[in-house]
Amino acid sequence: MSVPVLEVQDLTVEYVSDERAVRGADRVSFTINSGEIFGLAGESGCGKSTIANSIMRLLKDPARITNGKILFDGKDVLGMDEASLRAWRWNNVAMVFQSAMNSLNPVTRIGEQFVDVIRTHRGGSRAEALSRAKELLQMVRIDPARLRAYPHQLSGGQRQRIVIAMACALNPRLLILDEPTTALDVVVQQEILEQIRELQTELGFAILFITHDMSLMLELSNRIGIMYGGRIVEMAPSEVLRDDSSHPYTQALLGAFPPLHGPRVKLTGLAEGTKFTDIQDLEEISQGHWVAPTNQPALSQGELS
Amino acid sequence: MTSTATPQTSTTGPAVFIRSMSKSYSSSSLLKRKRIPALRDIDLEIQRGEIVALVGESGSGKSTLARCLALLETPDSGEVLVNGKEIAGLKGAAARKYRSDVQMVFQDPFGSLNPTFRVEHILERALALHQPEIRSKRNEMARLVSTVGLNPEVLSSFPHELSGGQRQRIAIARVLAAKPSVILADEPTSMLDVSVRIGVLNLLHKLRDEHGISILYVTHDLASARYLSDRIAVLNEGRIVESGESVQLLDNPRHPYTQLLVGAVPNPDRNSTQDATKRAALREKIQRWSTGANLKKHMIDEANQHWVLAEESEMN
Repeated sequence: MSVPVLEVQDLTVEYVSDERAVRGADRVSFTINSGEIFGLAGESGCGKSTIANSIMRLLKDPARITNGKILFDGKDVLGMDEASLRAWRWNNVAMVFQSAMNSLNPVTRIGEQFVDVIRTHRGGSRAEALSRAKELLQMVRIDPARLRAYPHQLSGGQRQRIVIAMACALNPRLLILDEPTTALDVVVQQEILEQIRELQTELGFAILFITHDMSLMLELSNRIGIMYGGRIVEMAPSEVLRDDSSHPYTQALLGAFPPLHGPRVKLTGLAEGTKFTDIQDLEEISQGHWVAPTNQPALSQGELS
Repeated sequence: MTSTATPQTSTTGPAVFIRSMSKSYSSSSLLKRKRIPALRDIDLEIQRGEIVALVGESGSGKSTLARCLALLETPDSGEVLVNGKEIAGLKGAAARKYRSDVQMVFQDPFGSLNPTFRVEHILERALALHQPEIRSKRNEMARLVSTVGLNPEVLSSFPHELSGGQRQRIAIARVLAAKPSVILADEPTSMLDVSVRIGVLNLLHKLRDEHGISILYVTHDLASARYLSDRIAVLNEGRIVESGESVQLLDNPRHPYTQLLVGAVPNPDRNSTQDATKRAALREKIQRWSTGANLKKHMIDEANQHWVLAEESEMN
């Protein structure tokens, strides 16, 4: 459990234009251990997808990694050339994108898309690839006969499960899930999450889980980093974050999702226009609980009228 | 909050009164035309100064219901009274008057504000249309903006200069310019950044408390419905299958569909999720309950107006 699969150190990504450079990620450091589910939470524009794309080396101009290191099993990801990247992606790290259900090719049968992935990366015969595809579909509880279906013949939830199964096709060590359930109804969302948990138990990969939904994040992740303005402002095990969050931004995110049980308590969000600037480096305030010092007061939560 | 749930006593009855409303859309395929029911036999009341949440998954009919109330759709049948007046067949001046009394807040504050005008123009127009008698528009605009928790400086901004939360607040200020007695809020926070969502919910709550406005809050998010509303109505395939006081309803859901929804909401305090077998059993039960030939409302708890739509045989 304590062997790091992924180490991100001081990662800085800038979006450079002629006039100025905007930092999409700013001196971000974290590690993900083997078999661990690590969550990155934050709002649109906080840099969480930038991090995911940097790990996969998918950043395109004008984005530039200007500082930092990404190590996968100790190997320098940023130093890989195209050929080794191709061999490394999907085999070792696979990613499920936001609204991934629309990333399936609409004019190709599901089975062919599996065969394509498996043979490109692993070679072997068509028949072997298809039998692996059947196994994978069974794992996500979809009838293997659906391999003959086209994407439009499946529901959104089914397509999403297929994309996740496809990501697991080559037994990666790390799975990156970028908002895997946004745009799905709650019940379907729950089914997908359950599937992810089952696959993880079975295959033992680590997960980088990205979402803005804190309830979801707390339910699934072992450890969580909260991002704001390209920086991590707080990082802790899920239970610590849930019970003892310290940064006001973390508290605002947590407060944005009222509980379904217990007394109705008035929550306070961030006031309109609240901004945190000049975010300091993280300090460890208790075992494994890291917080960026801030002079903004913690949010008070009182009784609702 | 439950104490405020008691509707303000009024001799003129509920703000919104819906009886047996149905609405279907036609879908034409190559060979046959089909009517697809979007709302079936809806009964719903919103008392004056009450917040009612309409929850359900996509396709359950919740937006259709709000749109019927906003005169954007016409129900096929049934009776809809708002402040005691039948709304079917409203035309011309009467329809205009109704539309200022029943205002809608949309999901997308990026699309609902004209990007070419400053905020002051947007609000001024609303005031000129709905409250032409007001002389000092400048003061009134400043008052509206501060009611929604913004600084009067935003009046000279263009919508694109504001954040999503600020824009939604401007959309609400524009709604207030019409002095409505009913606000229909269709997923008003789902496109906002999460850290400011609760602020917008708190604002709606304040409008009810301070201005006595009745609110229909349409959402797929059970937790926010519980947070904001006095009463919840659960829609499934166009039918209200269960309704009651928010906290009580979600603590003791009786309809299998409500149980399925409640069990699916992510819960940080939960260790074991609703498992697949339980979900399958609930699905089967939903199917059985919703195809019953003799569906009737059964009162579970009179004090909390908690009822469920079911066959007699399911109630034992």
